Amino acid sequence: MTTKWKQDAIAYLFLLPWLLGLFIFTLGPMLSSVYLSFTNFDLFTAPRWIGIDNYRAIFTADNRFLKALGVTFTFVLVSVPLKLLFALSVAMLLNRSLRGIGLYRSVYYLPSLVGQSIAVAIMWRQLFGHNGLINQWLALFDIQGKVWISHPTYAIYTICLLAVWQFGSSMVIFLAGLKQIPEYLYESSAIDGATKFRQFWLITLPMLTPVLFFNLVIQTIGGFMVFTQGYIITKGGPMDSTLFYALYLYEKGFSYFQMGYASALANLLLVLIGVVTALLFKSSAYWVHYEAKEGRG
Amino acid sequence: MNRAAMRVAWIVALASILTGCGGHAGNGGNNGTGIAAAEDVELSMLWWGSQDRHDVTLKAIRKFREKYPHILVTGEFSGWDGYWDKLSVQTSANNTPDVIQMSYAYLNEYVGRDALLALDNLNVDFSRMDPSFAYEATINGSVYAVPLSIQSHTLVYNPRLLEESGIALGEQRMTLARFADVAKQVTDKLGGRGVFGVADSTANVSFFLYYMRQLGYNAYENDRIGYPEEALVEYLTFWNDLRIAGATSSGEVTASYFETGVEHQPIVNGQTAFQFTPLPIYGSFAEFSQAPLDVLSIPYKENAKEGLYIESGFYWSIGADTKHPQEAAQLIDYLVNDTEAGAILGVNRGIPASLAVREAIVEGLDDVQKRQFDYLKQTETLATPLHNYVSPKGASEVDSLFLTLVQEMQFDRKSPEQVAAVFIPKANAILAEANR
Repeated sequence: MTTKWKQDAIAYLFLLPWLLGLFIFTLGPMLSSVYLSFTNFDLFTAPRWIGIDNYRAIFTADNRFLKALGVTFTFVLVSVPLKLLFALSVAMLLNRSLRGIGLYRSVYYLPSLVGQSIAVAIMWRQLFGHNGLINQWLALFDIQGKVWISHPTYAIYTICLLAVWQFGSSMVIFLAGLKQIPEYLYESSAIDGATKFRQFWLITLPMLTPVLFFNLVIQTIGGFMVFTQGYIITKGGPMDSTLFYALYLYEKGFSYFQMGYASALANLLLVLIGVVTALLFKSSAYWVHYEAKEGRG
Repeated sequence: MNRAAMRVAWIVALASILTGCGGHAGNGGNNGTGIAAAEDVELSMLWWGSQDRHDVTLKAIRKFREKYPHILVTGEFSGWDGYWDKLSVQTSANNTPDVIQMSYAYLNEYVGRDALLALDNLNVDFSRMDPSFAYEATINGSVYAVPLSIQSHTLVYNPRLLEESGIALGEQRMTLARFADVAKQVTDKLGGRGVFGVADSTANVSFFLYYMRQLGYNAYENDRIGYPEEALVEYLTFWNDLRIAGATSSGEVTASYFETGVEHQPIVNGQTAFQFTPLPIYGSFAEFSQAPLDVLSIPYKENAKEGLYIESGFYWSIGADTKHPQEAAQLIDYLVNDTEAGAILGVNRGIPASLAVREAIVEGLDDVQKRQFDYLKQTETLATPLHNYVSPKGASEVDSLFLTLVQEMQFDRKSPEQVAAVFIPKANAILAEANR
C-alpha cells in the first residue's frame, strides 16, 4: 500500500511544476473567463453580473459576429486542405535518401518555425502591399497588380497563403508517417504490377490516414484561432473582410473596453472548436485506418 | 529505487520551484549608474509617435535625470497603432504607466473608469500656459490631464508636384470647389506615375470635425452624434466625388495607407500632392520626405461658417495607481514648463502650450518648425472657438464603425446616402450603450 502511495507521490511531485502552470496559466484564466462572460467587465472597474445579456446580444444583435464566423470558416476551409495537400506532396518528394536531403527538409520546415511571428507578418504585408515585391514582379510582365492586402476580395487569401506557406510542421509529421509504411507492401504490390498511382491510392494514403487525421485536427484547431496575421497584415479590414474571430474578440475586449462581451465570444469559440473537433473524431471511424485494429475504411 | 528516487524527486522539484520564483532581487533600478541614492524613484512613461518624437522625448528625459538624479524615468513608446490596446492592457493589469501621453479621444474612457489621477493637488504649474487650453481636461470639476501643446489641422502639399502639374496656387486660401479642381488637375497630369491629387481623408476625424463645423454642427453633442444625416451626406459626397473623378486614391490604395505609420503616408513618398494632417505631423512628414513640403490653410466651403479650430492635441496624464504622484507631477511640469525641455522637444507635438516656452524657443527653430509656428499664428486669427470636443465614451467604436462604412463607400458597395442612413442610428446606439 505505502509503496504504491510513495510511487504516486513521486509521480505527482515531478508533475507539480507542469500542473501548477496548467492551473495558474490555463485553467484559472479559463474559469475566470467563463465568469466574466456573465458580467459587464470593462477592464478597469469591478465586474457587475448581468446574466446572459452578453450571449443574447451576440446571437440577436451582432452582425459583426456572423461576419467574423464567416471569415474564420473561410480561412479554415481554404487554408487547411491546401496546407495538408502541400505538406503531403512535399513530404513524398522528400521521402528519399539523396545527399543533402536533410537540408531540403529543414528549408521547407523553416517557415512553420516562425509560426505566429510578427516579423513574418510584417514582411508579408510588405510583399503583398501597394508597390510590394509581388506587384513589382507583376509589373515586369506589365500586369497592374491590385493592392492585395487592402482589397476586400483578396485580402483574406493573402492570409490564407501565409498559412499555407507554413506547411512545414505538417510535412515533417507526414514524413514520419511515410517512413513507417512497411516496404514489403510496396514490393509485393510492385510484383503484382501495381502502378505508382495505385500504390499511392491504395497503400500510402490509407496507411497515412492516422497521421492525416492528426494533422487535420491540429491544423483545424489552430486555424480557428488565427489572430496575429489578421492583426498585423490587415487589421481586420478592409470592411471586416479579414475580421477573424479572435481579432474581433480582441477588439471588443481591448479596444472597446467590453471585456465581458469578449469573454462570452471566447467561450463560444471554445464550444465551436470543441464541436468541430468532436465531429472530426466521429468521422474518423469511417476513413481512418489503424494497422492495429480493424477500421471501417 | 524508492529512497534514492524520493530524494532526487524532492531535490528536482524544489530546485525547479526556486528557479521559477527566482531572484530579480539583484537587478533593481539603477541600470549602471552604480550608486543608489536613498530614495530612488522609478517612473514609467508611455507615449506614441514616430521615431523623431521618440528621439527628442528620450533626450528630454535624460536632461530631466540630470536635474533630478534621484528620479529614473523609463520611457516606453510605440506608434499610434496599437498604443491604446497596449495602454488598456497595462491598465487592466494595474500596471498603468506613471506618466501617460493622452488624447482627447480617449480621455473620457480612462477618466470614466477611474484610471487617471486628478491633478488638482499636485505641483503642476498651469499659470504660464495658454489660458484657453490650460484647464481643458477638466471633467467633473477636476483636472485630469495637462495640455502640452496646441495644434490645428492643416493641408500639407508638395510644391514640386504642383509645379510639375502646372498649377499656380496664389496667395489666397482656396475654396473647397477650387481645391477639388486642383486635385483633379494633379491626377490628370501625373496620374501615369501613380500620383494622385489628395490623400483620402474621408475617415479622418479632424477633417470631418472641420467640415461639420462649417455647417454649424459638432461631432458629438450630449454624448450622441451632433449632426443630421444631410450634413453627413454632403461630407461623404464631397470625398466620393473626388474619388470617382480620380482626384484621390481608389478604395484599396486608400486602405493601404490610412491609419498606418507616418513613413507610409503617400505625401511622404511623393505619391500625392496634398494631404490633410494635424500640424505637428507636418513636421514628421517634412523629416521623412525627400521633397520639401509646405502647408496651406485648409480650403473652405463658400457661404458657410468658419470651420478652423485650435485644439490641444496631446496631454500628459498620471496613472491612477501611481506610487509616486509628486514625482510624476514633477516630470510633467518639467516637460511642459521647462524652457530647456521645450527647446529639446521643439514643436514635435505641436506648438508648446506654455507661453513662456513658446517665447523661449522661437529663436532656435529650423525652417520647418518656424513654418509651423507661423501657420498656427495665422490660423489663430481665423479660427473660431471649439466647444466640448473631448470625445464621449464609445467614440473609438464609433470611429471604427465609421471607417468600415466609409470603406464600403470607397469600394462602391454603398452610396453616401446609404452610409449616412446606416451610420447615424448605429453610432447613436453604440454611444447610448457606452454612456449608460
